[in-house]
Amino acid sequence: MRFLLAILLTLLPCFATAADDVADLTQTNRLLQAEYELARSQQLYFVIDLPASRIQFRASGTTLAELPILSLRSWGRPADGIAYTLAEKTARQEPEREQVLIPGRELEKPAVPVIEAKKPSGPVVQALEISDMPTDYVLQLDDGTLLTVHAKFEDAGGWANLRQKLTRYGWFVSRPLISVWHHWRGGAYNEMLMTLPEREARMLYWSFQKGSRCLVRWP
Amino acid sequence: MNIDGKHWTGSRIVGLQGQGPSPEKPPRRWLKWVLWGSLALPVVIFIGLIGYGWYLGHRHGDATAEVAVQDDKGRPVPPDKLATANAKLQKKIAALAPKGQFVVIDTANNRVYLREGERALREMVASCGSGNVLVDPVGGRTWTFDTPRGQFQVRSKVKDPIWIKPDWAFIEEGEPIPAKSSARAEANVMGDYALGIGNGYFLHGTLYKRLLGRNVSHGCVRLGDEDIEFLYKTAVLGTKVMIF
Repeated sequence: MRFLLAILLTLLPCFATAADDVADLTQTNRLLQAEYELARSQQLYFVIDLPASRIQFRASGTTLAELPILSLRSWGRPADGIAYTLAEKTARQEPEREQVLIPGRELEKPAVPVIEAKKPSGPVVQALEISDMPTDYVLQLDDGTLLTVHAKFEDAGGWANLRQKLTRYGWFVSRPLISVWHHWRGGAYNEMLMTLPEREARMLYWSFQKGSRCLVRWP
Repeated sequence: MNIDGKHWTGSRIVGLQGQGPSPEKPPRRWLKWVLWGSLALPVVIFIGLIGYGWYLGHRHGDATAEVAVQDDKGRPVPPDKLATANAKLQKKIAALAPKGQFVVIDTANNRVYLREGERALREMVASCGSGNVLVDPVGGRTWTFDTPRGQFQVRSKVKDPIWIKPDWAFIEEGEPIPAKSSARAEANVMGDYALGIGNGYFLHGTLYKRLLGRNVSHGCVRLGDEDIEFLYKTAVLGTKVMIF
C-alpha cells in the first residue's frame, strides 16, 4: 500500500506537468488563431505576453516594438485566445490637445497653457508629445478586464516608495472586495497590474489607442 | 457600574440608614459579550469577504484554457496534433510578414527605421504629427494634425516635390483660401525628395532641421536631407510602411 502511494506521489507532478502542457498548447493555439486573423487584417495590434513579461506592437506578424514589463500582479482570469479591443483609457491627468492659434483671431479660452517658470532645454514646441503622456493609467478592454499600468521611476524618492507600498497593501484589501461586489452583481472582476519603465509606460499610452486590437497571454 | 469592594460596602451603609437594602446587581456578562460581539462581527464579516474575494480572484475553474481545442467533428484535438497545428499557424503568420525591406515609423519617439526582417538597417530621426487641433473659424471644419497609424505602402516617389497647400495651411496662417489651384503650389518646403503613402501623407525633407526629433509636423513625416535621400533611393514603390 505504501509502495503504491509512493508511486502515486512520484507520478502526480508528471500528470500535473502534462495537464499544464496541454493547457499551454491550447492557449497557444487559440492565440495563434486569433493572431493569424489580426495579422491578415493589415492592422496594427498589440500582444501582451504576461508570462514572458513583455508587450509587443505587431503588424502582419512582425514585431515593430517591444516593451518590458518589470513586474506583474494578476487578479482573476479572463477568457484567452480572443482578440480584445481597447474600450477605454483613463488617467488621472489625461493629455490634452492644444488648439492652433490663428493670427489675427483670439480664442475665447487661451489655447496655449501659461508658460511655467521652468524653462525647457530645447526649442518651445506647441505639441502633444510623449512627455505629455501619463505614467499611471488604466486600459479597459471590451470584456471589462482592466490593465492597470504604473511606471517605475528611476529616481523615485521616499514619497514614491511609500506610495508604492500603500498601493500594494491597498491592492490586497480592495481587490477581494471588488471581486465580491462584481460576483454579487453577476459578473467577474479581472485586473492585471503592470509596472513598466517610465518611458515605456508613456509609449504604451501613446500607441495603444482606443479601438486598437490586442491579444493577451495570461499567466 | 463600579463593582469594586468599596462601593458595595458603601451601599450596605446606606441600607442601614433606613432606605432598605438595594438588590445585588448581577454582573452583566451578557452585555460584555454583546459589546465584544458587535465589535467582532464586522471584523469577521470583513475577513470573510476578503477570503471569499480571494477565492473568486484566484479560482481558474471558468478559464477557457481548460476547454480543449476541438477539430471539425467536435472531438478534442490530442496534444501532439495540437503542437503540429501550432507550428503550422506560426508559419502561416510568419508568411504574412513583409518580404525584403520595409519602413517602420515610431511616432512617439520620432524615429524611422529601415528594416529587413528583425534587423534595422538604418535608424533616422524624424518629426511626426504635433497632435494639435485647428478649427476653421468660418466653416467650423476641424483638423487634427496626427500622423496616421497602421500599415501603408510607398505609393509615389517625387524628386523636388512641390507642396500643394491644402485649406488648413491657409487657415492656419490666417490667409484667405485661394480660388485658383495654381496659387496653392509652393516649392522648396518639402526638401529634395518625397515618398507618398496615401491620403495626402508623405515622408519628405524639411527646412526645420532643428526640430527633428520633436512632434511638429501636420501629420507628414519629416526627415533630414541625407535620410530622405537614402529612403528615396532605397525604397521602391510598394515598400511597406508601418506606423505606430
